[in-house]
Amino acid sequence: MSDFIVGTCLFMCPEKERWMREREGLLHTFEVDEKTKHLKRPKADPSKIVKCFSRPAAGQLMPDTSELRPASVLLSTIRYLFTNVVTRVDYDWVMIYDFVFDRLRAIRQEVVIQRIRGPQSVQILEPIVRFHVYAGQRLCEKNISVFDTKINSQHLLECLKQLLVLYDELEEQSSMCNPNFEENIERLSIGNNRPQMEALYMLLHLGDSSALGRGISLPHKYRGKNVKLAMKISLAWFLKNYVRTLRLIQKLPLLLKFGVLSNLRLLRRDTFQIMSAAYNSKLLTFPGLKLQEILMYRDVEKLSADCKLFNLSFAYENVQFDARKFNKGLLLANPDMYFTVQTLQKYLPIILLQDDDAINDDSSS
Amino acid sequence: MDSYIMQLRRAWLNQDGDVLADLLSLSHNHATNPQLGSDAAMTKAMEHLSAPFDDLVLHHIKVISSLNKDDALTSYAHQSAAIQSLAKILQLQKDENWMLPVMNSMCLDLRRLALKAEASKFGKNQKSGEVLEKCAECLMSCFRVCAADNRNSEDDTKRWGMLALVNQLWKVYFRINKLDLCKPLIRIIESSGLKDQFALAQKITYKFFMGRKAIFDSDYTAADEYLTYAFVRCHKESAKNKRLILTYLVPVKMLLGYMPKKSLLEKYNLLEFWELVEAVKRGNLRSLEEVMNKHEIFFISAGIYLIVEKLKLITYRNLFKKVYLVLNTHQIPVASLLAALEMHGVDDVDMDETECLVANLIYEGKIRGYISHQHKKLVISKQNPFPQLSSLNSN
Repeated sequence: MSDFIVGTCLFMCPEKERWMREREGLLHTFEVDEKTKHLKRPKADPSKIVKCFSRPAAGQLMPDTSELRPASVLLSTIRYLFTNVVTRVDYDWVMIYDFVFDRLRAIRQEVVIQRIRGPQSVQILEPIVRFHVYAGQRLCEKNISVFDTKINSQHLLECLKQLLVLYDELEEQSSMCNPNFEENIERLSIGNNRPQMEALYMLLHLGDSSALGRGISLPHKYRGKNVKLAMKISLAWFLKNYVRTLRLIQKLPLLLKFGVLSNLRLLRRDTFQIMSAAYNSKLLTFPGLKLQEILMYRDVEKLSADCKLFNLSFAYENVQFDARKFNKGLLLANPDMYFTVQTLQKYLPIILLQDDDAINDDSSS
Repeated sequence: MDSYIMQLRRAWLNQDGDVLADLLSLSHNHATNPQLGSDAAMTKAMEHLSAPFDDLVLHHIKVISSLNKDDALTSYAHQSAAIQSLAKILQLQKDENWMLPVMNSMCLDLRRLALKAEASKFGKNQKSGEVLEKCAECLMSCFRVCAADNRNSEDDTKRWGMLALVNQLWKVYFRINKLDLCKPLIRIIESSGLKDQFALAQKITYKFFMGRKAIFDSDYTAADEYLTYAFVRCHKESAKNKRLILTYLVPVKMLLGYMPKKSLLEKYNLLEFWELVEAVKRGNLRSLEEVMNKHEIFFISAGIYLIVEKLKLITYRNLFKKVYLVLNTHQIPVASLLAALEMHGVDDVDMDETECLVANLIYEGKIRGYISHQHKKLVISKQNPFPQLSSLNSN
């Protein structure tokens, strides 16, 4: 590995960038030294300032190692962001998201530049994946001008796919004998989160044949409870069994539930379409309460709004399905945040930093 | 050894593609001659052969030499270099395509060596699939030369070489799970004027892979078309290939409502499917589940696990039809359907899910009627409530 560049910067932000941003007034509120915030040119708090993302300029020379952070510093930077920033309640979470997203992106960039692979990059990528999954749920109802679901999920999938490749590589390497004892020990600890990530991959690509294919051929030791459940859910949706799909979703641990709920708008839309054909009637109706239960609506108002969206009449708590009236052109139902902000806030930062199997979400209501 | 070099020289000067293809193929008996891997052979080749052909032959000899040493990775590297110099030669030969047989056989060897190299990598620090990915790139370099050769008349164009290359690439892409990369190639083949005139064997292989891709994309009517083409035209002597095609065609056909005959499955040693047929026909979900578990490894390794899973839908339809025939009414209580499901081994299902299963069948046109949730009844059409599955495929 000696031919790769290894960073020497031991701060979350290199000094050069810190001076530059102080001088140019480019400090984020989260980075300012409290004592100087009233000054015209506030100073950075070195324990709060984090290197921000910038696109590599064309023709840029080899990066200066003093501006790169080694893997261990990257990891502790993530830990700082997750324990001190994402948990803040004094600012809108959109602002927190923008800040953390940007700083995590810079971290990913440095992983690439320094070609950090193996266990260390797994440790870095896993929490980043969780962050994007969490944000996807927390901000799903926000207007596109402040939060773009698509961009968030693009970054999420990019990290997740990278992780799956890394897992496969490590798996292959560990099947050969490795004389380096320490490295082996390190590897032992990183397989722990793999089932969570594998399950997540299937749940994000619900009913998708290639994701299911991966799940089906997964080595047995990774097929724990959650992977099995994720596979069941994905297979149920593969057959468009909406009752079973949505019922099983509720058994998932929190983070995986956040992940799968990114499909909720599609699940609801397709269900409305199927039911419009099957319960098609001018006289009969379908009880709204039942539908609310099947489709996981917290609020009956949301159900009524979706019915309106798809051109189905909703009156006296009942839905009237009509195959001809159903608006096929719409591909998604309205966004709907399943969890309350209080619930979502409560599990920070645990959910981002570790496997959340231990957390019970019975308080989510 | 001398005579081998002379034969090469003669074939090259005579522009005899078939003979040259043999002389540069690794399955030809010269490849097992230990003398050929020697330095002397290389000197001879340099003496008697002219550029740029000598370069190609030198790489070929190096392949043989490393094969004799059982070094798969190095053999692959040399074969890949040989293909590169072949691509250069092809590019130089402006109005001729007599080298295509050479290209076909060398590319086949390249892919085989790549597989061997993958298998031998054990213990070396390399990603799985890496050699195959490089192999695909190498094949693409030939493909580009062929596809770009569009100024010549039909007789002399190297575009005839495209399909054989695409078929090699299919095999690689299926192996490394990168089916998306096939899309641009398919577009080129489908839009090429030669599309229907390629050699039959190549067309069959191509359609076979198109069929498998269609299964992957859940487009079963298209899959049926491609695979049927391949099966019908595949030579009856090549029972192994026919069996392979059937492995995919049978479940596709079943899904579209055509059940295979036992004799056919017997003939091709595919009786795994017979158990499936019986379970589906009888609407017996329990035994369907059992068959799936029993042959899980076969279904997974063949890549048909998911399509077999889809057969559940038809099994539900058949079971519900039986309930209808027994009750002989057009208003079937959902509770009776649920009871039937439970009787056939589906034990974790309730009224809501039963309605959901029925709803899907109605949505897909497999049952004609509607559900009344209030009355807990499935009300089916007076006429043809369970249309023949095979009649539904036009949509």
